[in-house]
Amino acid sequence: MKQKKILVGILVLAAVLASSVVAFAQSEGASITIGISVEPISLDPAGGLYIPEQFLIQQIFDPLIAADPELNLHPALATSWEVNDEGTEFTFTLRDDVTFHDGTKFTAEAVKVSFDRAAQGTTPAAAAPAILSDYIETEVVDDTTAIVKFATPHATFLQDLSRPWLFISSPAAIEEYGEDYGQNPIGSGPFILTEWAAQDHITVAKNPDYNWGPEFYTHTGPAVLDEITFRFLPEAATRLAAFQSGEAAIVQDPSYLETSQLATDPSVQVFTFAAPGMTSHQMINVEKAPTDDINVRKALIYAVDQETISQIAFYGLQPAAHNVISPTTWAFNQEANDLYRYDPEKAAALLEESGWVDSNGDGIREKDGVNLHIEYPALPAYEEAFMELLASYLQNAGFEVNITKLDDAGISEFGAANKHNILNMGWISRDPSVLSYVYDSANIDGGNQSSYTRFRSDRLDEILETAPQTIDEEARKALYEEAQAIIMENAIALPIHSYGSVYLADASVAGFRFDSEGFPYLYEISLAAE
Amino acid sequence: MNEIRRTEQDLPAKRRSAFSQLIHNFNFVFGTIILLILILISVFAPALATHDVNTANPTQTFVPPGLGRLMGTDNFGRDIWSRFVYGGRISLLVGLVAMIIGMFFGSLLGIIAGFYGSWIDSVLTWITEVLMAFPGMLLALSVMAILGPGITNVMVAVGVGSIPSFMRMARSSVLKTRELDYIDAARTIGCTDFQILFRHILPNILRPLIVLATLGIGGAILEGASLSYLGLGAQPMTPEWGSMLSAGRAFLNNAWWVSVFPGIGIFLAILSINMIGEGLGEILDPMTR
Repeated sequence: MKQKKILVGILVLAAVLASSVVAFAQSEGASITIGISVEPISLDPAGGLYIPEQFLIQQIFDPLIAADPELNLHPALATSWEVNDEGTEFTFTLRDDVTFHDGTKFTAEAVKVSFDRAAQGTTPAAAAPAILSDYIETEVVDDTTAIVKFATPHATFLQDLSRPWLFISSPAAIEEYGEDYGQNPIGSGPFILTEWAAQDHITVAKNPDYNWGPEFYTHTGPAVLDEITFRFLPEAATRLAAFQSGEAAIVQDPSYLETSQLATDPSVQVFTFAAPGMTSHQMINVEKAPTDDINVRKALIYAVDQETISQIAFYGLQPAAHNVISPTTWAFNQEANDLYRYDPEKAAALLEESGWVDSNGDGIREKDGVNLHIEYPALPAYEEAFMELLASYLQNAGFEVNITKLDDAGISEFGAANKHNILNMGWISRDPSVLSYVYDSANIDGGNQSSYTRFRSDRLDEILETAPQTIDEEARKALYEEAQAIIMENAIALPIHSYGSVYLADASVAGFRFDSEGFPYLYEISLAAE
Repeated sequence: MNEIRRTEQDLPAKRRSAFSQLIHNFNFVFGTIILLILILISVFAPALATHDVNTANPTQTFVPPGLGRLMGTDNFGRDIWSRFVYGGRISLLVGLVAMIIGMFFGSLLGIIAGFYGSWIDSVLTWITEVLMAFPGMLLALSVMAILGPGITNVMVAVGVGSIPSFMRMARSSVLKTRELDYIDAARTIGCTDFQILFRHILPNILRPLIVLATLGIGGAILEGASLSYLGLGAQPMTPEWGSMLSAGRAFLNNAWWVSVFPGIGIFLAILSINMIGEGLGEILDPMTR
């Protein structure tokens, strides 16, 4: 009888202990919601392009080589690598202890399949084909050795490998899902896609087997968070409201006015990051009047006060820009940056020199009876904050501005039809080589058709085509500095602002840190006990 | 010989003229006053505006309403009062033009369907029934998707969206009217279809159509503003109440006046027009008299 009581006591104790363990595990099993602005289109690395895709691809996939926040390269899926003297062949030794989320083992074959696909690109806008130009093949030597071969030198390839478009996919999953792979991405990264509810959210869960993170991560093994939900909240104010109501612990790009006010609140963490790469600038069309005249183009640039736009439209959270690439980018050219500063008188003088005068007193300059008219197609997702302010500056200088609000596809169509005078462009990248995507004249009618300046310069094309193959760092740097000078001297870019990533995080969020492009390492984030 | 005597009836004295009824109708009078004020404001916008509608003023952002700035300023330091008075022009015009489009085409189709009957009626009725199955806003959105954004397209979209209701109203009125003796009489003396339709039938079915149109203008203004709110209507730089409302929503916590004043504009416009419509309905529509 007594023994029985003891037994019962032990059982009760065990039950209590077990339940407390379960309870503990639940509090460990932290999940958070992140409010992001745009829903991804495809999470296929070979098809992805824009910021939301990059952010999510980084959670689900792994690179061969990872870059730390200071851009030093570290082994990831590749343990070591060698480059031949010409910079055309890259030999990678791969890990043999990695499995994809679907159970497929990671081998050199996966590298080959991923790169072969990336070189083709699976969407028209994919960024990978431009990076893998002149790609010949990936040779599978054995399971743990792969050689990537190019016809021309690829100076930036090792850096490029750390960018989302060259992350490695499971070959079995690519075959299984075919066209729908973008909605069913399978990588080897720290998180597994578990749910994608269109127009609402994407949920990823911790990959429990993950044990191959690069060495610069602050911990090893699986991610700390069990589950992350990315809610698509297109409105900045909605994201802020979601944050304030506690619905989302982290939000991306909240409304800046409130953020500038919240910055003093101790229960809120504000993280800002000035991104390298192309600034947000208006590409100026040299083939459509009146911007075919360099004086008009220069006047456009002189007419705009970027410092004030940064303060008024972004409350200073996005720094003013004066060059086509941002100051945090490698090979930034200070001289090109100093060419233009807000000077309405200079703008007026340039316009008058070209014969644009306001003769009928309506505030708009005209020449031969034609108004000084600027067609400005705008993408509200990126330009809402400043487009009317920009137009106001141009109007003050005597321009007549017509803004047409369009979506991504509409903008491309508008630009391809050569109907624009100015069109917004920007591209976050750690290397100025992105300039070639939109300033190489080969991309005017061919290529990605995104060279909306329609500017043709043999020298600029030569630079943009040879620099990526120039192995010598100093020579490469000089080339990109010259490219910036050509672009700014010909006044084909009207810089507006550098991209600043702004994140609001709840006080309980710990371990928040930016990578080199301004994306937080979600793998490292934990929730402090409250 | 029996004389036919005219019995004197003083009906006209008992029943006041339509005009006299109108000016004694609270809804009509009150609505008209508000609408007149809005129209006057819009017409005299250039004189009433204190600032240029598009000039940004970086040193004066989010100025609250006060003496120099009647309705305050927005996030770019633009004067909201000036934008409000110009914005009224567009919002009211959208309502008016959309209703003219809807009434013209709707009535035309309705008259033809009702007068000719047979397969023409069937086909036109089918088409309108299909269109009626869509909510007006959805129809307008579909039209916008085809035409692309812009304020002119909003007028067309909203107008097209209102065609079915006019068509139905006109058709049913014609069905009632075409059986009347005077139509037979007109036919007997050799009037053409065109003459019968537009000289004899149309004037007699106009009243309900006018009531419908008046009520519809309010709805059209709201739909136009909604489309602009969604970014499909007035393009940036054009002051329009719907898009002003939309632009201000991001600052509601800090600067209520950016959204509230254009909101009041929309509210007053629709309220006044609906009151006028109600008033007209009470007096003109035989069913409610």
